[in-house]
Amino acid sequence: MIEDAFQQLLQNSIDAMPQGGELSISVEFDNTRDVISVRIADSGPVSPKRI
Amino acid sequence: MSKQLTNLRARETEHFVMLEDLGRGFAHRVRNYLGIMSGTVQLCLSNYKMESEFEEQLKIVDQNVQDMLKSIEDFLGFARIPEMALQPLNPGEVLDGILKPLDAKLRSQKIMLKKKFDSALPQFKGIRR
Repeated sequence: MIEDAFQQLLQNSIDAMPQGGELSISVEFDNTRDVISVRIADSGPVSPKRI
Repeated sequence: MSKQLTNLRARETEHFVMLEDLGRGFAHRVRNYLGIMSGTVQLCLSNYKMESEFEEQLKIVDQNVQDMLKSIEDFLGFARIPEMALQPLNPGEVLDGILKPLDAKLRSQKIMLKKKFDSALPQFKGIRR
């Protein structure tokens, strides 16, 4: 379910910022493409390019 | 940690699905046996002459079988997987609903939340939790 996916993303963001930070969520509607975009960003450490 | 929790939840869900399948299969088998018992008792009652005391005893047996069949039908009705109905959802409300329980954690970890939702977001079809 879509709510579970968002919840997991948000939880991961919170877990990535144990010392505090910024979590931003934006929701936009593009009526030319009839698409809703949800962006979730956090100021936690980025994943290394090579794991 | 959250990945471990997700795995645990997935395993629990899988376990419950298996348990439900087993329960449903078992209930179907018991229902079949009870159906045979009830049919046999009713056949005896209508086709054979018997002492009234024995006849009463068989009627009580049949009544118990019918009660048990009713319980099994109730169980099977409950165990039936409900159809998932898509309904219109508001994206902003969905996200706010997810964020609300996380509010205390955000504050305790000093995480600043910035929300920017378009004012005229259309609804989309989804399954409400």
